[in-house]
Parts: sequence; C-alpha cells; structure tokens
Amino acid sequence: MSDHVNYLNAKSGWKSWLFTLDHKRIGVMYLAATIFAFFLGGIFAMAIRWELMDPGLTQDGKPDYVMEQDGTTPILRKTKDGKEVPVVKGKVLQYVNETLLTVGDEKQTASTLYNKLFTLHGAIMVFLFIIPAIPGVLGNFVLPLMLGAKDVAFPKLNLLSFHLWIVGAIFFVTALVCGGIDTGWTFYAPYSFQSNTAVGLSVIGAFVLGFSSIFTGMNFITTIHAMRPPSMSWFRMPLFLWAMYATACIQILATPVLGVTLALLGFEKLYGVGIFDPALGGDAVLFEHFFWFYSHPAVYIMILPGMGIMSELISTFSRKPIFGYSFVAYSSMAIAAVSFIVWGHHMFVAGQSEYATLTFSLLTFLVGIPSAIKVFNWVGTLYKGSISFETPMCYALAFIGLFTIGGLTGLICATLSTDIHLHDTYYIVAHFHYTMMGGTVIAFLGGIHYWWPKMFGKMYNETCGKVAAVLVFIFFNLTFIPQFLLGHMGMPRRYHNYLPHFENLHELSSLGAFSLGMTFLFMLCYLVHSLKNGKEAPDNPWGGTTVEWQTATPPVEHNFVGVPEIPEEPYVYNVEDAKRAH
Amino acid sequence: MKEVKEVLHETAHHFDSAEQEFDACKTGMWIFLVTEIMLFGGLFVGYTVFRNWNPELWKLASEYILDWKLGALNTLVLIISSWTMVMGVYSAQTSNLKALKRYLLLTILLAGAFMVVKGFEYTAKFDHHAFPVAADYSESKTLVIERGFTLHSDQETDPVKRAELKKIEDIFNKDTQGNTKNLNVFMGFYFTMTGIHGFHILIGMGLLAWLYVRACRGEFHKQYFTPIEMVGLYWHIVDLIWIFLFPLFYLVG
Amino acid sequence: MLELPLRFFAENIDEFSNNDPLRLPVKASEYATEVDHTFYVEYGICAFFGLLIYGLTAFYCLKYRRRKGNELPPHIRHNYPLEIFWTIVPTVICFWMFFVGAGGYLTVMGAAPKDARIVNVYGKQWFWEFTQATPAGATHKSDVLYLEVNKPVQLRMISRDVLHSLYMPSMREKMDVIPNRYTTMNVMPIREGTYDLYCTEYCGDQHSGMISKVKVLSTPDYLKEMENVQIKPAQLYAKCAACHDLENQPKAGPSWKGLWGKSRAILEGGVEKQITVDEAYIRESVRDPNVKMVKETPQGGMIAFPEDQLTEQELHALVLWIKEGSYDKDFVYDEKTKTLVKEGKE
Repeated sequence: MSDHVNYLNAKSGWKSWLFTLDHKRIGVMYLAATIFAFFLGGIFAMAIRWELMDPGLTQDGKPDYVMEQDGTTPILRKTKDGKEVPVVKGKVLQYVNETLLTVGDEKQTASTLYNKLFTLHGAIMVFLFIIPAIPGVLGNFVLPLMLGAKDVAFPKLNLLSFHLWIVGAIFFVTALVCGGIDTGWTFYAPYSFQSNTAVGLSVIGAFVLGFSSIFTGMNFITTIHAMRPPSMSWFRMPLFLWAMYATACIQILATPVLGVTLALLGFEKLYGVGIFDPALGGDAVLFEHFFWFYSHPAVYIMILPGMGIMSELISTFSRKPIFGYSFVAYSSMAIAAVSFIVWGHHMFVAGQSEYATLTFSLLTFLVGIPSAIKVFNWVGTLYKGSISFETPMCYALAFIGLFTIGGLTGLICATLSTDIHLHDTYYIVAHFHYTMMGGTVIAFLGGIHYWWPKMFGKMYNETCGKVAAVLVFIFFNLTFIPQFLLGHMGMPRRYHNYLPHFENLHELSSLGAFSLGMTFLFMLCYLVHSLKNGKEAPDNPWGGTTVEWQTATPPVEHNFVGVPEIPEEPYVYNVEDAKRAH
Repeated sequence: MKEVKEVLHETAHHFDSAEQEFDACKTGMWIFLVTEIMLFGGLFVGYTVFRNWNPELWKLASEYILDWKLGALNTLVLIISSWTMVMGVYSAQTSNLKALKRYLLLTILLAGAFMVVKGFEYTAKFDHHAFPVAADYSESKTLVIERGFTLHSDQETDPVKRAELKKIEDIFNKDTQGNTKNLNVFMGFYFTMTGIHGFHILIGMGLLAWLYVRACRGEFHKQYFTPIEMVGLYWHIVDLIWIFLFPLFYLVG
Repeated sequence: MLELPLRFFAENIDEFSNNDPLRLPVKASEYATEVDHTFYVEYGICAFFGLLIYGLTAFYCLKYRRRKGNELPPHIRHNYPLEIFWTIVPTVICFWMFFVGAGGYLTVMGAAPKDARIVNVYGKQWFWEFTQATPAGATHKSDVLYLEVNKPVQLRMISRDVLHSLYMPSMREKMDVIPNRYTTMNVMPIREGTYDLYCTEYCGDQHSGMISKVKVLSTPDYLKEMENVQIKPAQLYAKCAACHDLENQPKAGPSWKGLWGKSRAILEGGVEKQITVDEAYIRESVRDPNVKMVKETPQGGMIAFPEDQLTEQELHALVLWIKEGSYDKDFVYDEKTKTLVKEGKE
C-alpha cells in the first residue's frame, strides 16, 4: 500500500468496513460482492454448457440411449436405489441427480436440475451482478470524485443500499440451498406460482435487491443535482455522469413496478387472489406485461453505465474530447425515456393485440437509434486522435466490436416477421449476451482496469491485462456466434435435451464458454496479485482529465486535499497531461 | 415546564453548506415520492384492468362488502392529519416548540385512529370470510374454491333480515351451476392496496414519533426544520393515495 | 465426447438440405419465403454498417495510433451536419425495416383466408394434441400435426395449464399458447416433408420433451391419414411420455415397466395402504390423481386428465395397453369389442 494515509488504510477492522459511510469503501465492498455473484452465476453457466454438449435425443425425439452391440437394446446401469436404468449418452446430470441433489424427499430428475441451473444463472447474474455492478462499484467510487465532492448526498442511504444487497444475496443463496428455483428468471405465471421450488425466497430476495437499486438511484440523482460544483453546469459534466444520471432515473421509475409485480406474484401464490391465475379469472399475459415493464428498462440500467464508461475510456485513450458531446448526452436521456415504452417487444407472440405489437416494434427501432449515435460518436472520437492501446482501451475497442453485433442483431429481433422465427430461440440468448455481456461486462472490466490504479494505488501487469482482454474477445465470440446460428436453425431456449443436428454448434459454444471461464479466472488472479505485488500507481497513469485524477492515489478519506480544480470544459487535454501520464 | 434549549444543527460534513444540505434532502425526498407513485401506480393499473373485466363484481362488492361510511370517516381523519402536519411544519418554521410537539402528537393520534378504523374493517372482513383464499388444487376435476362468504345469516333470528342477508351471501357464493363471482380478485386488490397503504401509515407513525423525540430535544427551530418538512411531504403523499383509494373501492356502487 | 467440430452443417436431414449459409431450415411455408428474404436484406444492411464500424475503428486505430508528433490531437468537438446525417439515415432505415417486418407479421397473425381449414391445438404439460375434422366427418386426433400441402390452415390454440408456445422452424412460425384464451396462427404449407415442431415457452420440467413433428402430406397421403381415426394406445401414450417412461428411465412419474399387478404403498387421506395396480386404480389416477398418492412422492403432482382431454374409450385403450405390458406400437383399440387388436387384423 501507499505511504500516505488514504481511505484504505485510515481505519482498520471489519466494523470500519461494514459500517463505513465512505462511498469509496462501499464501492470496494460492492466490487468483492458482485465478483462473488459473477463467479457463482458463472459456475451455473459452465454447468449449463457442460450439459448442453450432448443432445440427449435421437433424430425422432427419443432419448439417445447408449446401446448394446445389437443397436436396439439400451445398456442398463444400477442406480443407488437398485433400479435398472438406461444410460443417456453423454448427459452428466442423470448421474448428479442421484448422488448429490436429492433434497429432502424430493427426487430431482435431470431435467428439473437443468431447469434450476438456467434459472439460477439468470437470476443471480441479473439481480446480483449486472444491475448493481457498475453503479455500485464504479458509480459509487467515481461519481463523487468526478464532481469534486466529498461523498454522495446520502452516505447512510448508500450503506443501506449495500446492506440490502447483502440481504438480497442471502435470500438467493438460501433459496439455492433449499433446492433452488426452476421457473426461469422471468418467473412467468402460472408456472411460477405452481412450482413447488423456493420461489418465495427468491422473490423476496429480488424485492429487497430492488430497493437497493432504488436507493442507489436516489442517491446519484440527488448528488448530481445538489452537489455539482457551481462551475460545472449540466453540459460541462463528464459523460460518465450523464450516463449515471440517466441510469438513476430509470432505477427510480422502473424498479418500484418490479416490487409491485413480485409482491402480487407472492400474494397470488399465498392467497390465490386471481390476478395471474387463469383458473381464478386472472390473466397470465398480464404478468408478462407487469414484469417486462420493469425488466426492459432494467436492461438499460445495465447498459447505460457501461456506455458512460466507454465515453471516458475512448476520450482518455484518444486524448480527445468525445465527438458530439451533446448528442451523446441527449442520447443517454433519450434511451432512458424511450426504454419505458418498448416492453412489449418481449411479447410479440404472446397473444397481445396486433396494434400493440406494431407500436412496440416501431418504438423498439427508435430506442436503438440513440445507441447507434453513441457508437458513431465514439468512432468519430478516434478520428484524428492520438490512440494508445492500454488494457482499458482494449476493452473499449472490444465493446465497440461486441456491442455493435448485439445492437444490430437487436434490429433483426425488433423486426416483427423475423422475430416470429427467432423469439425464444438461441438467437435471443446470443443477442442479450452480446449486449449484456459483450456490452456491460466488457465495459465494466474496462472501467475496473481504468480506475483500478486510483482505487488501490497499484498497477496490474499490463501484458496480462492485454492478453486477457484479447482472449475474452475471442472466446466470447466463439461462445456466442454459434448460438446465433442455432437460433436460425430453430433451437429453442431452455432445452437441455435437443435434436442431434444442433450438436456441433453447441459443442463449439461450450468450448468457447469453458475457455472464457478460464480467462476470467486468470483475470481474477492477476488483479488480486497486483494488490500486494503490483507497482505503485501514479496519481494519473492514463492522463485523464476528469476530476478524480487530481486526487491522491488512492484517495484520502475526504477525497480531496483542498479544493479541486474543476475544468471549464470537459475533456481538454494538454501537453502537461500528456507528460504527467508518463 | 423546563425550558428546552434549541440545539444548533451541524451540517453534515460532506456538504458544502446548509443550503446544499437542504436542497439535497428535498430533492431526495421528492425522488422517493416518485418511487412511491410508481409503486402504487402499478397497483392502480392492475386495478383498472380487473375492474374493466369484472364491472358487476366491483359494483356489488363495493356496495355490500365495504362500508362507505367507515371509508369516509378515514378520509376525513387523514385530511385533518394532513392539516395538523402542515401546522407542525409551520410551528417548526416559527420556532414554536410547544405547538410543534402538539401537532406532531395530534398527527400520530389521527393516524392511529385511521389504523383502528381499518382494524375494525379488516376484522369484519375476516369474520365474513371475505378474503382471498388459496385455490384448493387438491380436488381434481374442477377447481373448488372454498370461500363461503357469509354474513352469518344462519344466526339471524328475524326471518326478513335473514332473507336479506342470505340474498347478499348468495351473490358472492357459488350458484347452483358452480359459478362464482370471483370475489377473490376484488378482495385481493382491496387488501393489497389498502394493506400496503396502511403499512405506509404505520411507517409514517414511526417517523412522526422519531420526530417527536427529536423535537423534545430541541433540535427543530427556524434555522433547521428539514426533517419535519420531509416527513410532511411523505405524509401528504400517503394522504393523497388514500384520497384515490377511497372512491375507487368504496364509492363504486 | 469432445470431437472437434469440423463440419457445422446438419447433414442427411431433409430440413437442412438447403445448406443455407445462415443455417435457416428449408422453406416449408409460403410465409417462410417472405421472411427469408427479409432476413437476407436486413443482414445485408447490418453487415454493411457492422463492417463500416469495424473497418473505420480498425483503420483509425492504425492510422491515429500514438506516435511522436501526434501526442496532442486537434480537439474536434462537433460536426453538426454529420451528426444529423447519421441520426436521420439510421432512423429512415429503421422505419423501412419496421414496415417490412410488420407486413410479414400481419400475414401470419391476421385474419385467416376464407378457405382455411381449422386445426385445433391444445398444449398441456408436456405434449401437444392436434384435432381436425376429417372429410368423412370424423375427428382426427394426433400428437403430430398433419397438414395438406398447398392448403391454408388456421391453428386455433389454447393451453390446458401453463404458458406454452408452438414453434415450427421450417414454417418460420410461432405463437404462444396461453390458458383461458385462444390464439391463432395462419399456416400455408408449400413443401411436403416432415419438420420439427417445438414448445418454445418454458413450461416446467419436461419442456425439452415437448417436441413433435409437423407432416406436410400430398393430397392423397393426407386423405389416407385422415382415415386413420382409430384409437391407438401408443399414440395416446404421447400424452403420458413426458412423465412416465417405459424403460425405468427416471422421470417425474413412476415408470410403466411391469406396472400392471404391481403392489404399491399409497397414502389415501393420510392413511397408508397397500394397493394393487388394476384398472380402477389407473382410472382414478388419471381422473383424480390426488386421491391416492404414491408414498415416494407424497406431494403428488400428477395433473388430472378430465374427459374432454382423454375420453373414456381412450382411457380404456391405455389401461388395456398397460395390462398387456409389451407396449407394442401396433395395437389398435377396437371400439366394438372394447379390446386391443393388432393393427391390420380385424
């Protein structure tokens, strides 16, 4: 650690961390927490990809048993309770269910297990990782520093947000221990209240996590409104702040609706109210409307902060201001606004009216335009820039590559006629992984690598960083491009047994997934290694122009010694900055 | 009575000035109120959808199961409590500690009265078996829902009255063909919406009690009355939501 | 297990015999032709913009990489004409894409053509049943969708329990099947063949198993199939296959291997009893599953099949099939003698 007193070493002991009011410490705790969630969700992803390597079915839809020499009699094996059971070729879960996972009296079939795997992967990734990660880690750490402020507006509320994350995580882990859930992360009625898995616990967990998100949003909006320095007008803010502001707007407006939806689902299960249960006069499609009214804006909660990070990275590593600053700022707000009126594009074939479907399709195209504008602006920033390729920039370039694919395939999904073929197939899985993972996770990693020196005062090994970035890009494509093709072929989602003609592409995808998993482990290793053994980081290793680079590295407890100098215009690079970076 | 000394308020260290702190608190509270509106908004949307699908049920249930007089009483109580809250804020702004304490207590009392009336309403519903009951899936063939809405007509001695009560009971129970009026949905929305609202009233009472304790310590005066004003905003929203709930449930018939 | 996949093409399957570069299946419906055209045009546009972005990014990274002399680049902040241009052009393209897509969609979801044959579909956990009127006036029921080539059809679909979705990739058509409300889908098959049919809305444990086929037949073959209205237990078994295996494969429900005459412990009203599997027990298990619960699965879970989903005759046919025990596919239920006979025999 550095020699000066900073926020990391000023106080010690677990209480000084768990009950801290310092936004920087809260950000670091969120980092540990969300990384844990990422790896937990990732383990489930690996299990899913392992199971999907073999079809499990023959061409006419019968189970693909391992046969005796004659080719017609299946080979039998004895199970633990003495039954003789045929062996399905290559499928691992048929063994797992007998040895490990008999929960209480309930026998788990291989399919139940698989259904739980994909549900838990989705729920943990969405609720525990992607939605909280960038706002919780980088938003918390960087936002006040970028404003030249001493903390967020409501530090105690900030701590409460983090504690609520912990509580929500405990509920999810408890649900996991109690046998998991098998409803799909989307909890569609009526199956979700008929399933006898730990739905109640997960619903409460998601509800609590929703409040964590709402309070973070409240904090950020208030901080940006009330604690901006007088010389930093709206259009002089760095674009990361515009992105966080737009994200926070969505968080406070959309998340309460999720809360209500989950509450109603809970009441439906407990009291048979009859809102979503068709047998009692309710409507299952109404649940879909309620659910997606939150969950579509939620995906913009996921991507907007990533786009904010992108603006910072592209600018710093091209040493130029972002081209078209005001268009990018307006785009963030436009995305936030339009995100609320496109939820029906998840329900094109759900039985809603044609007029609704047509409207949602048109609006979905409109919501893609601001994102496209941003990509053009970032590429425009590269023009005549002075581009260096440190690790954060590698991630920024990877983002352009991957998010472009995600966004363009989104156009194919928004087109009604093609979406009829592609909805609920692997095409959609690939599309959202390109935007959420190829977009948000890549941007998150870029941001982590960018602000890591500021957060911990250490530099990680630059070669490792670059290698990991390139490998992530390659393996990510290897994992998910086959899934686009699978979608075209008609491979449905949430299937663990599939017809054999999908096998080759699934194997390729799994190969990519395992490689990707190893790369993330490698990344964790060199980052953790840098905490102890990394080189001391200078105050401004990248030559950034935003205010956080003016503090000490790591920052002192109250962020700034004296009053920071607020730049008159954002993103002004000069020769001193260039020199300082070296 | 012992004279309570005014306690000077220290602006939180991360703010640059008292004005900034006040601005921030106000912004934060308004944002929170927006989230409350979105929360209840979702419920109102659900209400609209189901009332559209079951217009007759809504009219009948509102008329026979809910007592509009109690609802009107509660509305009056809450409106008065909003007035006492406003007076409380004004007292703090004019450093009138005695009046502030009085108005805070009155608001808490009125809120309590609201909850008591609510309690009576709820227990009456439970007594009449007018609450959503989980569907009984264990009997196959057709779904049997044991609601058994009752006004205890069997305990009524006067035959005329008994016939009246029985008539109302029959509206909501299964008819001879096994058709039900799906009272579950109406009662589900009633309990969910008024219940969540009542929960907010309880939280409000807690906040007011906290304010009272701090007021007794002399923390509120014309230089600093932010928490009073913030809780006041919260209280007004909670009142406003009830003013929507009341006609939508009690005045449908 | 980990064979390096050198060939990504599904060979020897009629459905992919077109070797489409996008791996789209053969076009089996009139709609598919329209949609595939949209696919290709849109991918063309997307490829153009994608390559433009990739190309410019790569080019700029190369040309403007940091070297001596370009350490402080010009601070270009705006070029309003350019920005407006690249706002308007994508918007126009998106509008165009929307109209193309909407047109296709309305073909599938709109009103059926006047001469469309109606096929009723119901989805239930975890099987499909397709019912259509035969020319002879009988009702043809099957778990396979039989269509006559070049004759328009409207599928009228409803679910008996949770959300399902009927998907036929070769037709490029899909529609959710929801409880309590009918959804419809227009299909115009133009190519004979057998194509896959999936459930593509997650519906619980055996969602992966809700796979069937759609068989588009020439007119004479179709008429021949429509004469096939006899009750076949092996075909009825499709309704039970998701939970009951014939080979002891562990599934949600007990296997039927050697089921008849088995003695088992059950709970009736909380009281433990021993019963023997016979016709009465099977009938009760189908109509009223939760009266007697097998001790190993006390929480039950078998879904009831009332008479409109499994007629008395069909139930009897299944009972006889279980009793017979060989699970031979060739049996047919003779309604007159109320026995099972081998197909082809009188």
